[in-house]
Amino acid sequence: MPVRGKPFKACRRCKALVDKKAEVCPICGSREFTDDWEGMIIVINPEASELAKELGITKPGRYALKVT
Amino acid sequence: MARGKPIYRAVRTIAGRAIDVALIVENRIKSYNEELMKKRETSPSEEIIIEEKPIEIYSIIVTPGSKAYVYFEAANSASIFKAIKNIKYIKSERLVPVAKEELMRLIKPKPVIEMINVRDIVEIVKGPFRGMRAQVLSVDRNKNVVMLSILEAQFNVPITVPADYVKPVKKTVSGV
Repeated sequence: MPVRGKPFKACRRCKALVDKKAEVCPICGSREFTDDWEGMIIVINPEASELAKELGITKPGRYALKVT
Repeated sequence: MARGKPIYRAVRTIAGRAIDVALIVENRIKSYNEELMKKRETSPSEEIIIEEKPIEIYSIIVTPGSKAYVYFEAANSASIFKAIKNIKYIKSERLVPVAKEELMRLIKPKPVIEMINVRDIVEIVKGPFRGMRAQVLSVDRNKNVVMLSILEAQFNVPITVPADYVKPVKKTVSGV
């Protein structure tokens, strides 16, 4: 079976997952990205989500859990 | 409206498809809730307001290393059932309850450096000294490195390695 590539790249600063073609992180404005990430949290409602609060996420979106 | 405490549930998926399921559910929640809002605006009848409730999932989690489980943080189980209905990558629609602490442990593992103290015995898991045991001589939490003395070495040569290279084996009792 062919190995599927990861659909996103992760921002090194805020861990946000963005499209592979994006040049600037829409969350923090950083330009440093990595393909080496693991785990994902999709925050839909950051005010209600206790996990988002614990992770310090304030904006809805997709984030990596581990970035190396 | 006051919110209750969120519930945490896991759903089993086909191996390697957890991220796909998470993305499908994300799209569903967005489109369902947007449609419902539009419906409520155009025909604000009581029927729609009472019977059709938005999907109240707060976050969707795929933990590092796990390829067959998706975790949900939601207001109620009904929201999760609504969101995962008929997704072909889901193996079982049964919701497995998960404690918040357990989920936190999975998504935010404690850094190794915080668990290591001077005089602890650690195993080196990466680099040229892999597989050897060593005693911790000093811990630099700012640089995230530890200085070790390898137990198996004939001469006592201190080496400095990144904290990620070691795994705690034995704790020394403080004050001994």
